[in-house]
Amino acid sequence: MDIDNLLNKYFEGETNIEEERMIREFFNQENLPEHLKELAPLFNYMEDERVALEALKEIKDISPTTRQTTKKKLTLSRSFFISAVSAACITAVLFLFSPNNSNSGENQNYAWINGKRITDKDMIRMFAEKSLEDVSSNENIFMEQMSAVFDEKIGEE
Amino acid sequence: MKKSKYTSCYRKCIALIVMCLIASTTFAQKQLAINKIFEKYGKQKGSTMVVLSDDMIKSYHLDFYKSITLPFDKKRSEEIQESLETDKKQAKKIKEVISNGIIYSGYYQLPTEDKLKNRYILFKISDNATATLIYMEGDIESEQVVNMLFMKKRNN
Repeated sequence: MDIDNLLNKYFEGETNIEEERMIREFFNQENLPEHLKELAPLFNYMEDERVALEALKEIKDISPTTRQTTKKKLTLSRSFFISAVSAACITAVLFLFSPNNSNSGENQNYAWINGKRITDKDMIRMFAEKSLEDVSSNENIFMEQMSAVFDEKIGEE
Repeated sequence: MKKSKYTSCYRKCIALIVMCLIASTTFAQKQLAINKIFEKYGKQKGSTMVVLSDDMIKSYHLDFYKSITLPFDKKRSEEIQESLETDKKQAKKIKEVISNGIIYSGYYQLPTEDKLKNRYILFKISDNATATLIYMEGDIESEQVVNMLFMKKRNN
C-alpha cells in the first residue's frame, strides 16, 4: 500500500496500529516528497509524543519499586533507631535504680557501725584502717603469700 | 496487610529485646557477687561497714573503697564463699589460703574495662570468728596494695 492511500485511510480513521507506525516511520525520513512535507511536523510530533509516553511509562514502572525500597530502608532504620533508644532508656533506668549500683560513682564517705550510720570523717578513717589491719595482721601465711607475690615482682625486674 | 503489620511489630520487639540483652550483659559484667554481702549485712547490728570515695582515698590512688567486718557463722560463711567463688572467676591474679575447702584468706585482682584502673577483693577470716571483706578500685597497683598491707602489719 502506498503512502497516499495510507494517509487517506489515516485521515478517515481506518488505520490500525501497525499502519500508523508505518506512516510515522515514513515521515521520519529526510527525503520526503514535496507535497507531503507539510504533514511531516504532525507525524514527527506524534512520534516524539510516543517516545515521550514510552519513557514516562518506563519511569512509572520503575519508580514504585524504587520508592518501596527507599520506604523499606527508612522504615527499617527508624525501627532500629526506636529500638536502640528504648534499649538505652531501659538500661539507664536499670543502672540508675539498681540496688547493686554501689561499687562506684558515690561521692560520699560513711560507715555503718552496729546498725548506726556514721559520717564523721575521723571515725570513718579509723574503721577503714581497722578493716585493713584485720586483713593484713596475724595470718603469717597470708603475708608469706603476699611476700611471694612481691618477691616475684622484684625478681622479674 | 495485617501480616506485614504484625511482622514489623514482631521485628521491633525482637530488636528491642536483643539490644536490652546486649546492654544488660555489659552492665552485669560490672557487678560483683560480693555486693550482696555488703547490702545484706552492712547495716546489721554486729557488722561494721565502711564506704569511702572522694578526697579521703585519692592519696592512696583509690577511687572507691568498701569494707565489711562481720561475725562469721555457717550461713554467712557459705554466702561469702559462694560470692568469692563467683567473683574470682573473672580475677586475673589470685592468692588464697584454703583450709578444709574454706577460703581463709584471699587476694583477688580483677580487670576493668578501663585498663588504667584495677579492682581488688581482699578477704580474711580472723581468729576471733569475724570475717573481713574489702573491695577497692582505682589506679592503685598490686605492689601498692601489698605495701599498704605490710605497713599495717609493721605499724602493729
